[in-house]
Amino acid sequence: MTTTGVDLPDDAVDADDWFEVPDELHYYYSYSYGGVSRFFREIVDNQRLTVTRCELCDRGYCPPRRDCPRCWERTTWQPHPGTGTVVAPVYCYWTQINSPVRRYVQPPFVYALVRLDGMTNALHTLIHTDDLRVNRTVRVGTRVEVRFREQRRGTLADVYFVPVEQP
Amino acid sequence: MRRVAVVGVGQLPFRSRYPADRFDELAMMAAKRALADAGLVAGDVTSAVYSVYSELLIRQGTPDVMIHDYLGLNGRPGQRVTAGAASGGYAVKTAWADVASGFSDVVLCLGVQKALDVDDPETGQRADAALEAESMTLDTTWHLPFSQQPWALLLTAHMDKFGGPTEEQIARVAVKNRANAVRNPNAHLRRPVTVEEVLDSRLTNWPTTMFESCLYGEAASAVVLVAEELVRPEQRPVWITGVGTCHHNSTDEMSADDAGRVWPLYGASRQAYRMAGVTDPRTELDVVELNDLVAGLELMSYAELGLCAPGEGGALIDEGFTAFDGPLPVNPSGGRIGAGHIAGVSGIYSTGEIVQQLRGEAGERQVPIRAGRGLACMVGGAGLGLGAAIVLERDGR
Repeated sequence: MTTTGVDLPDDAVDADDWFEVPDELHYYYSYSYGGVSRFFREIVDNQRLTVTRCELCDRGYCPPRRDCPRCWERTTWQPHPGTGTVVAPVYCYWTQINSPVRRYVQPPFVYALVRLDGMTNALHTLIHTDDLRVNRTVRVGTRVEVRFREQRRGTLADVYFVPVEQP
Repeated sequence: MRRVAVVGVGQLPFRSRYPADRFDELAMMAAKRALADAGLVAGDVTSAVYSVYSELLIRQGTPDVMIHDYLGLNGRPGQRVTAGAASGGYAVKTAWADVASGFSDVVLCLGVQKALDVDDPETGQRADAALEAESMTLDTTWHLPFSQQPWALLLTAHMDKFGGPTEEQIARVAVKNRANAVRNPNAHLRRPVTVEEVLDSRLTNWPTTMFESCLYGEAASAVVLVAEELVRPEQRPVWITGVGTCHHNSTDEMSADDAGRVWPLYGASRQAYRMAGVTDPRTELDVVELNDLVAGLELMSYAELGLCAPGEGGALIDEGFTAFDGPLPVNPSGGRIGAGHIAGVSGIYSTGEIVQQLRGEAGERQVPIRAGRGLACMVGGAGLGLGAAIVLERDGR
């Protein structure tokens, strides 16, 4: 008995047998950032980076977390100078034609996981650099510094990083 | 706990589109084939588990209700499982638990997904539109709009930490899997490629090229799981002796210790090995199917499955260890790069492929079965944070 099914009659496709209808979904959202609202408000209003820290575990979080995943205690907010290190870079030469990242950059571009100084976790972000097509100079260990876009609306894309020092 | 056997496999070929079939109709085709293979009928099914990854791709919430109704299974327990590209593995684990626990005797475990119904009327680029819809699987606050490719972060971190694999070693995975797919009538891409062609194809995310990336398509696939007391020899049973799943966001911390590792696959495989009593997967497995969503991920996966030390995946492909005629063939179906991929279906398909291999019914792509044991495993989700592993055995002792 075959299980590949390629010999079964219901594989036959007759173009006259199907009818296609155009359709679309549109939804609008207004949602709260909850306990990490301060992170986005400080970026939008003051061009300042803030992070959270668990006093009990002595762990820092950016992306900030209201609750420490290790001990479940509430964290406290701290300002951060916006310096960090690339943990993993992605040299992106292709992205889908309708990707929202294209509002900010066109391929090729670099995005990366950046660990802000003193933090336990790491932030997904864009690295602005001019030499991607020829040299991939942003590497694991590259020191980076935050920048704020002029137009900010309260999303992760309001900030990006620039390389300041190579490992 | 009851012993659980897979007694039926039903697969549709991976295609870019099935324009003449709705998702519930695809489900019916796969279900018919799986039940026919098992020598059973719909009336024998006592519960169903559906692996349907995304609502957005088919513009339908709770699609399991429609599938269950379409298959005429109303009144019987049904359940949907969704876990990114690992959905199928999580579904098989759920179906296994239904039988092992005594909750159900005969479970239809079915994956179906259409993807290219998503359209972009301005450009006509359906695949781009589908990938954009798929981005909703990521963390919408902390990943978007950048991180469409968590595997790319893992791969560059892996290469930095371990000094490999090389670009050529990565290309060899695509060459291997595309060559394997030529033998698979269900495969999406049945044309072999050379290392040069792979390396010359368009860069997507360095070092990954287009030919090293899986295609997104459409398909349906099903397996039928039954309790030991109902198994008949003519059903050529293959036993599920180990299952594992693991949620672990691999791109959250990336400390020096855990950078460049695919932890969900490590966790899931170790859990499945423990249950099955596998201590040396290099010699105790005959065949492996895994999610080569990109070629580099297959090489990273070798270590997570215990086939080599972390960072040595490149050496394994160089020595032909995982080749079709090697000691432990990986992805004889062609894998995601050659056979095809759509989240929700791939995991069920891989499980079915291992069943066919262990039965000795894999046709041209049959690999030698010595230990009588194979592994189907999957990884997917935001941050490649979802892993599943299923150990299957011919004898199951």
